[in-house]
Amino acid sequence: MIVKSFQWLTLLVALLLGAVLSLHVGGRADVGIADLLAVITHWDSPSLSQSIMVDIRLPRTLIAGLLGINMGLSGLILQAITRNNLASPSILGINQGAALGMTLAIMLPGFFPIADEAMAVLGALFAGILTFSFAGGLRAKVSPLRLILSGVAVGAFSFAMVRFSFTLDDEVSRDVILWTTGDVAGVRWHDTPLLLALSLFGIIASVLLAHRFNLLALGEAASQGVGANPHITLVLGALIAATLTGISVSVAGPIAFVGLVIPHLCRAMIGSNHRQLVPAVALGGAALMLYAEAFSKIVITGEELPLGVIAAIIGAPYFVYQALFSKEMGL
Amino acid sequence: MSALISSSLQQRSVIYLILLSALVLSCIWGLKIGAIAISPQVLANTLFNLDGPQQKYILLTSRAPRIVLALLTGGALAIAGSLIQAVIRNPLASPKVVGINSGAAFATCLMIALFPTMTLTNIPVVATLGGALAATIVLLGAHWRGLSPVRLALVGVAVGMLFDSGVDFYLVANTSPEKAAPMMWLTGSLWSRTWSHVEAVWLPIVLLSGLAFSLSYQLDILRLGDETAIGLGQRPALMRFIALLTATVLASISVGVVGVLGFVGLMAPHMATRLVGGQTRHMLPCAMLVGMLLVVLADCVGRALAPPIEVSAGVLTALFGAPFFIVLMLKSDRETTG
Amino acid sequence: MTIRLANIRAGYENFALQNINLHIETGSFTCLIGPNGCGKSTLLKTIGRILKAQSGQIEVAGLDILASSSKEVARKIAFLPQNPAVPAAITVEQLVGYGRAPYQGLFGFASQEDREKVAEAITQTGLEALKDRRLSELSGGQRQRAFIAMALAQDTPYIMLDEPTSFLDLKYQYETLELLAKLHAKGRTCIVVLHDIAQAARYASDLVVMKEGQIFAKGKPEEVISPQMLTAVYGIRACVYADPVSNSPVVSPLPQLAVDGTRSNTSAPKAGLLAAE
Repeated sequence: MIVKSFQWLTLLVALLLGAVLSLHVGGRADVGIADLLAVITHWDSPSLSQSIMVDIRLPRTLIAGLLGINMGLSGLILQAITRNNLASPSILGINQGAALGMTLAIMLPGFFPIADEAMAVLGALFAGILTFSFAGGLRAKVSPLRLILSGVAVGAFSFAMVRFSFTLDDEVSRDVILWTTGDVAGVRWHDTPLLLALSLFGIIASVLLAHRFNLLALGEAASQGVGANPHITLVLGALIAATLTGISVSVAGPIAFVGLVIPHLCRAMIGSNHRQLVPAVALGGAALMLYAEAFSKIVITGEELPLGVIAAIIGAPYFVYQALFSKEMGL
Repeated sequence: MSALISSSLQQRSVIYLILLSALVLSCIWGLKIGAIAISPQVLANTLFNLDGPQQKYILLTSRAPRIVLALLTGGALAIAGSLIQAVIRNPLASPKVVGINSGAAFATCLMIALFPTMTLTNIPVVATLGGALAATIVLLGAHWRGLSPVRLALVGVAVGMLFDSGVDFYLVANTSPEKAAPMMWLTGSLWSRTWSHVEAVWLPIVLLSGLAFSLSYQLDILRLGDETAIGLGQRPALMRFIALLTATVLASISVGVVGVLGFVGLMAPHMATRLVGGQTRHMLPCAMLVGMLLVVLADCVGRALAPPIEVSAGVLTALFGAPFFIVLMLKSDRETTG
Repeated sequence: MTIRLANIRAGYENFALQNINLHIETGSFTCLIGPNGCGKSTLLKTIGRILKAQSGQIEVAGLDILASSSKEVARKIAFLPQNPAVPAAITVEQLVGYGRAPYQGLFGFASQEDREKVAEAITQTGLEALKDRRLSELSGGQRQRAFIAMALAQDTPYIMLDEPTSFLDLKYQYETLELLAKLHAKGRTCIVVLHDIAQAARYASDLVVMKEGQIFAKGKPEEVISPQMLTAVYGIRACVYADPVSNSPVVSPLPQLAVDGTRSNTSAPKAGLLAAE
């Protein structure tokens, strides 16, 4: 096996630079990366700028990175189980489904006996199942066109319902709108543990399933032939993807394109072995979201551009370019 | 399901007759129902100018234009959906696939952000332009690269998502009710539409629908695939472009004037195909009637549910359209695989 | 009344037909054969102007194809792609009716002649009983017949088919080929891309063998199919027999070169042998 050290190095450097950039910029120009070093050296008496670094910047950066990991991995898993490089949480309507779950939780507080995050995961799962069954069932290899169109239909429905909530009660609609756009401006340390735990779970589970994904790429029959039941892979993969998407959406709203673009880029760099793709996508997804996060603080002073918007601004042109010119994409 | 399939003239006539009567009945219902219920007696008096109590104001200035607008936009959306499905060669396609809805919403937000003094009356124009702009990007891709249907759908989805994220940003940046209110305009409602709206849109909708009908036969040939179409002497790239352009303007206009009425463009052609078969010449008029019926009914039900509160027609079309669509899709799984 | 190609350059970005000169006689049943990617389908599409040639000349029955309108071409050549799209919920008769498009205006109003041609095409393909059925209800073979009927309704001297047998069961493969042979006997010129050499040899009056975007050989099946050709074009060792039923050439591969480069010494049986190395 060829170890593509250059590519790995690129990903790592990209991640590190992204992290530094994301920590360095922000509403207060006088707070910079130097404060982080200062925090590390003199922990006992933090200055104001050091506490900004610790209390505001660090959790934001961490969460942006984790979101990137989740969205990237969930895209990768969806692409693996559908054997279709176009699958991603947003294309399949899973993002919108999670958003609908979350909206329901906000609109009817206390009505559902489970946590908001669980509602988002459930919504994601439900939307995913719907899309797949429209597209021709979970068994056969589904045509890309059917998959996209079904995803659009499911997404459109979910989103219509989310938008509908805007027309309701002012308080509720404000809450929903604020959360819909994919924003991490308000996150603090207490938001991190659940996300961190689930990201770790996502990475580990994907690594464990990587071999099965490789086998699935050969087709269901071939996968069955070497003793890896493709249906189990499918169900496990779908569950993980829905969980990762759901939890990300519940923290920051739907963020499109990361799950589509990052696996694409990594496949171009690393190849199609999932054992290597999983860590690469985790690194790449985190890096992309860190830049997006930094970017969101730089672009407009006064008004922060939400992460979801930046991800779309970066991702959409790449995707359109691919759709126009790429010879692969299984078309 | 083949019991439902009718190709003979008599069967088709019966279906058209049923659809037309349903349409007339729901229009009458639409005139009656609302915050103030109007008795059939008064309704007849007003419509035919008979002696006795009349309700001219409510009926003629408030409800009648709504219903006319519902007919116009329902028909326009159904025709646009049929055209797009012929172009994408898949019954799952809809105007949403070329990004029209998102473009219209985005343009409206942009207008309010940049020119806050502009009034509500400008929204239809701006939204139409926005929808057309989004679709133009997709159209140009189709024309310039000679895109296959799959790629066309992909570009449309991506463009739509980009505009959607813009809308979301606007909503976050402007949480004040005055600035968010115009967005409500676009949630697919016929509330407070007047004769002036009807005047603005009826001519282009009628003309473009006429164009669509005249293209029926060419659409049938387009659906046979590019190679067969060329073999039959057609220029599929050109035809695709004309059909998409027609569909775009039709859908943009209706989104512009009443907002997003989800699933009408998706459902109407599908139901029509089931009723009268897939040949566009028969299917298109039927789809138009179904589309009209859906929107008129959605508007009526929205007003009838809990007067004086109105539920947006767009919410209802999505709410009822989605499950209906699911059933149809699951049933027709085999037929639509192509 | 022939098809004449002179100095044709055509094809997609990465694969091109170079400098093709070809003559196809009217009244022939010409099969294009060759290994995968040799350009046989590209050539067929170029003649039918599904693909536009970049340079050169194509003349079909006196008509300069490259300078004519699509409709004019469509009145000379009926073309069936390998895997035509099947629109949902249309009937066989409606499909066959589309074959009249080259003779109709924008709106596709059918004249008396159109209706007669459609009825005739349906009779010739034996689809009378199925004409009101939907395409989606038909078997693969029936559907193929419906598309051939559509091509017949086009009422052209030339019919071109791109691998018409490739997605069919064996029974329907022969049913389709027999149908084409019948049409050929009634005077249509058939130009067909086929994958199977035996089928091509059996039904074709002329074969065009292609290799890497060039025409390797053209002639009667028994002239063209030789062990030398099979080695040069397909890279296999084989001997060629006369088929006991039709007397057309049949290919029987010999054991191929062993891994160490020596040839196995299995000798070819003698009976019915047309040619061996």
